[in-house]
Amino acid sequence: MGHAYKAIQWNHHKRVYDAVIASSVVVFVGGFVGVGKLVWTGERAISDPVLLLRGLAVCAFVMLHVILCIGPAARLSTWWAPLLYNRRHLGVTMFLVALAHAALATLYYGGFGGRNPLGAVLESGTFRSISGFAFEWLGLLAIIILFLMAATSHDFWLNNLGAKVWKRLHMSVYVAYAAVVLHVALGVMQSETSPVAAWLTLSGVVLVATLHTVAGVREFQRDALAARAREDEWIDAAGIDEIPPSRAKIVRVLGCNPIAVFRHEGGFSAVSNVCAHQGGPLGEGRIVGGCITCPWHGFQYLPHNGQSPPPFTEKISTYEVRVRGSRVEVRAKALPPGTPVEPARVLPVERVLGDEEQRQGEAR
Amino acid sequence: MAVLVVIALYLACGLVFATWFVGGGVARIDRLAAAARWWVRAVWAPGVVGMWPVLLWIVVRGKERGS
Ligand code: FES
Repeated sequence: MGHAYKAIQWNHHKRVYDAVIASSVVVFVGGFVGVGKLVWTGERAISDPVLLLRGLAVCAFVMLHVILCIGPAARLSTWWAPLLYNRRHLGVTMFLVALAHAALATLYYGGFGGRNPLGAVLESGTFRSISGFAFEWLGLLAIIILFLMAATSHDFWLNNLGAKVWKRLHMSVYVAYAAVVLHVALGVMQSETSPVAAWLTLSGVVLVATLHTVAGVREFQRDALAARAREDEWIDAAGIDEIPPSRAKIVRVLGCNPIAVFRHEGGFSAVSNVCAHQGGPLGEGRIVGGCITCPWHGFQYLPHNGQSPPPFTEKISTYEVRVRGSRVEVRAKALPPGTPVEPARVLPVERVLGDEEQRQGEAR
Repeated sequence: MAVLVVIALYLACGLVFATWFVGGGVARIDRLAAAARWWVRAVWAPGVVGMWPVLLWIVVRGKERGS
């Protein structure tokens, strides 16, 4: 038995997160309309529906930037991790805001249903010139991609499409982003006389590109520093005092999944750092109620065997661990998921010295 | 407009498939899903409408996950 499906995996933290997202959207769009009414007056006054659809568009565009920036930002600093863990809810909300913009724009520019409004909007442009470019098609493309992503964000899809296909599908957010940027550049800006919108859009693109580049370079450097080890080799993981109780140190081994070495009840256990649910970083979680608890959605595993406590059946790989003097070492070879491994204990000093002498004696 | 007609036809097929799939067909690929309450399945419905060819392929291939 795996984890039963729930409509939404809410916990207290996620409820707060969702409440903050929802109220931020209302405040942002309301604020945009309010400020717009004050700023654009007289000849430059903008009608209420247009102000609202622009407010929704800007809000969705900003949210899309936040979503794209969270990933690399969290790789650069764990400060951003809580935002990353709830990115799916942010993504679905962003889609709904973008959909509201698309629906309102279609109805407004399509004459509120005189005839097929979508047809009217899509037929209004051309592909032969930049000035009258049919940018609405780019918006439609982005909405279709964002819809597929939002509609397949539930665990059911991850389980049934498989992690690889699901991940690829969700990487298409970059195609959606490119379509949205072009939609904005070729559409909105044609009617804009002020350069502010152009500069803001460009800054957003530069921010997304820069964060991804910096995070990529960091990752590359970290990989270069990762331990190079043969499968049967012991790797130095950490000093025994480096790992706080109920927490872990993540060990990176070239060409292998990272390993999370946990300290629990005076012993050390090592498991794969990759959660069986959606690949969450277990080593960033902690031990709650005797179980390693994934920081993303709370799946749990017993430290000594990598198995979810009954009745659940998820399993992750475990690793052999040992304590040598004041250092914790882990063997690079992953054991089959769910294999029990005796936690390594810190030995009394005399015993360690005794072992050391015995080994030296054997060597002589 | 031809593209819109194609999209409408695609979605209409998706709607028919989703009715069958969410109504019980899902058990063919995911036993855990078959035990889910109706509101949980309703969450999957929009995705089923959009992704129906992929799901149809998984159903035809007959590979079961999540059991
Ligand atoms: S990734 Fe979801 S619980 Fe670990």
